Amino acid sequence: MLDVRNLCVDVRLHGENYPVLENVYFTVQNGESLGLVGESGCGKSITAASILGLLRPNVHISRGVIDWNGRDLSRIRPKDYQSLRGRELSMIFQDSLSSLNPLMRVGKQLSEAYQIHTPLRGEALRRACLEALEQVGFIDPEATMKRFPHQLSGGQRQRIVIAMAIAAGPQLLLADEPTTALDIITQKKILALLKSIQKQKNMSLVLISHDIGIIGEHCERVAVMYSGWTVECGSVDEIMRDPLHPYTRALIQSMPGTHDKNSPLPTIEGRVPSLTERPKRGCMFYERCPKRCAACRGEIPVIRLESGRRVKCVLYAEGGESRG
Amino acid sequence: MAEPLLQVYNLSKSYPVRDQRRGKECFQALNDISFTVNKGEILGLIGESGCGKTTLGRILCRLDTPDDGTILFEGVQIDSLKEKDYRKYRGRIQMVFQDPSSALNPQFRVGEILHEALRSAGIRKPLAQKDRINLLLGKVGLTPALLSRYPHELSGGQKQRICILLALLTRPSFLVADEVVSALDLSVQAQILNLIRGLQKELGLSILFISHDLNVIRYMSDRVLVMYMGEIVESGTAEDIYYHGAHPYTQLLHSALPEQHESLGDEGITDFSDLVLQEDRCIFAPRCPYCSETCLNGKPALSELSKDHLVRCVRLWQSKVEAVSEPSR
Repeated sequence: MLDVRNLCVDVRLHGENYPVLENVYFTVQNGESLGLVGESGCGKSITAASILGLLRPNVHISRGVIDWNGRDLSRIRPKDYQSLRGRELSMIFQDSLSSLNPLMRVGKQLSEAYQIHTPLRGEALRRACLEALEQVGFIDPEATMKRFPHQLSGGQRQRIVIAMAIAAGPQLLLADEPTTALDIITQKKILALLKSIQKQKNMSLVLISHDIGIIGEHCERVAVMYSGWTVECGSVDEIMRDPLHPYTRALIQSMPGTHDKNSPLPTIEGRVPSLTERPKRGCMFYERCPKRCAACRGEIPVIRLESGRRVKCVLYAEGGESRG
Repeated sequence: MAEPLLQVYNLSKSYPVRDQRRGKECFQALNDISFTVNKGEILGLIGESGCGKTTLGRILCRLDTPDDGTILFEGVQIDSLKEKDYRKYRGRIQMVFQDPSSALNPQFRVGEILHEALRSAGIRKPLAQKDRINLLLGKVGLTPALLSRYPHELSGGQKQRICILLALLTRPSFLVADEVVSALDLSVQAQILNLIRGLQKELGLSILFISHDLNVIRYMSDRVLVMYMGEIVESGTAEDIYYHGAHPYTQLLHSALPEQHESLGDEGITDFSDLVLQEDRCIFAPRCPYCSETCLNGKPALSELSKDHLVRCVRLWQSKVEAVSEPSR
């Protein structure tokens, strides 16, 4: 349904072009949930923005295909996007407070979403709003309609944002760190809500998070990103159980989970290279990789495994070093 | 044996709030909190946002004044001290804040920020200042080159290291670490957690470690306090709280962990502002799946379940054994 192939995105800074995304790939099937995971600065949000055509003026897609039901989104005109956004593709942002207009009652903002995308008006519109609020878990939708965003808690606001995002029944919902600002209990509830709506409407979901634990629980497939690369992509079960790329492995190990208290947590030395510091050739993870070798300085192939899993690392190339 | 460093008795704090429907009222941020932090111990404090964790930390650092209660630091009652007399304790109790970006003045270079902190702590000789900063830079894993940078030039992890360094400058014996990793990436989080544990051992610090993440709390703390709406509902060793949490709220926190593949009972949407505090019932009753008549008639006391494991729940008086053996929801 959504097939992103070799997506390259450049950003223009101080008169020079820097690649932000290089050959990013992943697919999302109908009704499936995909997790995009990686540290901040690895290009998760830029990927989402490229799909929705929301890139800033100094950022542009230089190569690659974003195949959405047969249409290449990287090539369509901004005007054509208007019929797609909201109706076919929709998005939820991290900060619910800045997604909502503080001067407008919740009910009005929600009905606006319906007015733009649906022919509903008058009483039917009102009913649709009430139903939507009920669906996202509000016990008293009538009262909620009259509230202002600041009168609601973070979790409640995020529920409103979800209701607005799904108003026009999109086929794909991109959720960019939808729960990062929320409490752990609220977080779990919001994610459960997203999942149940997704199932109910047979919608596809792209969940973006820096927390691989969350992705592991709520998604079916995952694409791990590092420094503008997709380093590993496959089913969540496989990747959580047996991460192949050294970065994925380190990411999973750095969760405190039930780690032995008496030993330090495994960490990834160093930090994500900034745009200007990225290596010009070879593997992006080279500087921080515990398994780096001479071959990592050359071209890094994407290795396809039998299960459809893909990993971008020389360790798994034919004739390369075996796993361990 | 464990020697107490900080003892807190019956601490309460309320903030006035104006409510259109109910007139002027008070929001009870902390209600009758008592606990002890021993020397060289990490005490974890967990709870949802709005439960009073940060208020408690601020009061301990004298950034806020309590309405009621007593705070003893090394046996001296510090809450009633005059500002002048408190001065010598200010450096001994320090706080690391949640958001490193807003904790550092963006207009100052890192070095200037550090020197200024030392100046205001009474260390005025430039050489002594330099020595102290250089010694600590190595300890928090940074290089002197960073001193000439501005905060915005640093990564989140580096900024948090600077904030930790800032708190350590006055050689404190007690540190309040308020959600120090919640703004950081997982891999950076691990680095900072390791750093804090290392420093704690090396410098013999006592730490009140505040977090909303039960995994982080378990890994970091020796003992844990679980807080709900300004009250301590359970306290015990980190293992007791993590593996044998007895209060329904602790169990709720545990089941919210990502690796717990169970769905949370939907108790509806909680709006803290709508929960009117009633003196005479269990504070968790409106959200509790086990809520019974008894819970609404009288506030349960914090009572001992086993040694050093205190729980505020009536179910445990009624049938101690049953409640403990029951798996967490």
